[in-house]
Amino acid sequence: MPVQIAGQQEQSIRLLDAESPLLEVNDLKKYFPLKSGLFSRSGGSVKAVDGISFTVQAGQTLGIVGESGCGKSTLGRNIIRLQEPTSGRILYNGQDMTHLNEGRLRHVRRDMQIIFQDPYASLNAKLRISEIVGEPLRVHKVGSRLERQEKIEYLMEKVGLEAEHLSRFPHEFSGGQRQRIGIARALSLNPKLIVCDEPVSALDVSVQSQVINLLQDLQDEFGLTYLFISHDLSVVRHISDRVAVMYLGKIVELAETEKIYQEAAHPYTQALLSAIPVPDPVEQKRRQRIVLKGDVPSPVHLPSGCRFHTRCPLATDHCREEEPVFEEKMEGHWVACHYG
Amino acid sequence: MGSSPLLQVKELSVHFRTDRGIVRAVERASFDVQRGETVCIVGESGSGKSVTSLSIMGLLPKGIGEIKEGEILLNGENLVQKTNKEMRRLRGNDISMIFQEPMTSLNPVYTIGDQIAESFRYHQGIGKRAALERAIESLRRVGIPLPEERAFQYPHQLSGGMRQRVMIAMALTCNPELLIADEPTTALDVTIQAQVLEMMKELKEAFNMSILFITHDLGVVADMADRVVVMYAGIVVEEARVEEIFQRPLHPYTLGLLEAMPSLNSRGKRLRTIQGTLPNPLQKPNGCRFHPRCPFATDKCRLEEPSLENVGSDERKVACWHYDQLEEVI
Repeated sequence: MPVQIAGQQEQSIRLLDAESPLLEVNDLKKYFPLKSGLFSRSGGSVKAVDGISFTVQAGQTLGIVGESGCGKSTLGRNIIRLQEPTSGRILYNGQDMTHLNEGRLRHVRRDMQIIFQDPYASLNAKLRISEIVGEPLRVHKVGSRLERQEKIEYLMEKVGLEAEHLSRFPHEFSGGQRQRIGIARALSLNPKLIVCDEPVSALDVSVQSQVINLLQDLQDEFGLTYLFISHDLSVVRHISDRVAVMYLGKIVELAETEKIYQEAAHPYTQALLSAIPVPDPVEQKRRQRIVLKGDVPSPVHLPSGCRFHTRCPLATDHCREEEPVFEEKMEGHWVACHYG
Repeated sequence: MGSSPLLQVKELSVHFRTDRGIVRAVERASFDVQRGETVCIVGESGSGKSVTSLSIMGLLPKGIGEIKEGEILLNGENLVQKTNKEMRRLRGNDISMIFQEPMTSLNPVYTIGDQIAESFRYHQGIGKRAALERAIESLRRVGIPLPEERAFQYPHQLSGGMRQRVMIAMALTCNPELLIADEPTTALDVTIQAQVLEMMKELKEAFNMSILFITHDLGVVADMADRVVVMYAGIVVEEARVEEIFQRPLHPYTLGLLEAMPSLNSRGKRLRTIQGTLPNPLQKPNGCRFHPRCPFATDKCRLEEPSLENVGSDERKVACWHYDQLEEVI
């Protein structure tokens, strides 16, 4: 089955775009084993990412949305191999990342960076800003000391901070400024792909929009490709070219952004969209909300058939028995649902 | 139903003592909550919205946070002058509060049934068995499936959404007139948030209570509020009916917040931003607190602090020297 999915997807890409994608993920799985009992016998596993395939074209933004525990952060971490995938393939520029040795991986990794959610936890409190932003350059032995210093100053300017900030420590900055520092660090090695893992979720509204604008400006200037992971559907809509919706380790729907937001085919996507409170009291009172029953099931004991059937308003016996295939229902619009 | 408000906050000022100096967390805040009404306080970090709610509950940290000035009237009685003992009786009976993270408000070593039952026994003096039955009934009312079984579980066995439902069940044990909800759905996923918000609306009708809802999320405000109070850096900057706030904001900060949100039409464009950062609570700007970030700011704003004034009706208030310019812009 996975081979077939990958095949279909490759075909569709050729139809959509003659160029090969910058990033291609094929049937990626990440299982975390559960230990139980005194002698650590295996107690099953958490299927955090359970067979995910997609592609991202250079210079584009793929948004990945889903609720907590859907596996979106694990996906991001596996792609840049901060965690080792259980199985599947990650092709970067056509090169299989999953079978690279340490040395080669380190080289390819210069092209890939990550920005984390928590700007308070992701900067070393004991280092000065110049050391934090310059660390990747030092690790990868880029340029002379002077060249590195120039690069650091250039990066600070690019993210809207002053050179005089370089001698300060992280605690002297606000959340938004810290996130800018994290972005400067991510940019230091001229990456092509950046995994943005909830980069604005911890920020206040008035600061959030500044950082979103910054990310978009940098994308335009440096031709960056983003994997933008977020639970905030409004932010994802604003920034993404295409959007993938995840539920319990799988992508349930993937399409161009406006297709997802206006012609959602999967009942989960529809419910998710209808659950966001819109900042317009008139519209909010008028619209019909699909309130899903119950909670997200545990990823250790996944439901049979379609994972969403326990909460789905449309579920039938068929859904309980057979897992739907993730397939291209309309051009460029992938859905995993028997009825969607 | 009398015409006097259920809750009146008048010129409330709250100071916090910190290692680095005095923080004026809330400054001369005034607003009312009518019976059966939901009022949302919106604001970002450091706006004073949570401190305001803790002051009403009489839960400011001892020796650190202190009400410096002002009155908090519940049914005309000034809560600021109440003793601890009097406040303890009031909390639960007349006012209840739910918080953002229910796990920190629940006791991990007691079953949820016991915890809710305790509240019935304390406030209503009923027996152990009767209290447990009431607890199970209240779990059913907040939409917990199989409440007879859930009552014997511990907090860690429940999901975040379930725990928040338990907190709400607990808060409603004595039919309070006022429920204060401080970011109750911020830690929840959107589909669960939708469930909890719908439930709160139903319970509000069923209990005929008032809700003071603290949030930073303007989407939630649009969904829940009858009236809105906007706070910035410890100051109430605007107050209006919910439709007015969204359609005709009068304070530049409110306008900035609304415009900064990604919307239907913003894709591919730059977002409008509010320049600069939130002020350091120890060194708030003089004059209007918002002036360093305000596109309308003039010398007057830098020097003189505007007070919260009525605009047209009693329900519309703004603290800005130049709100008439905003009316023209919009």
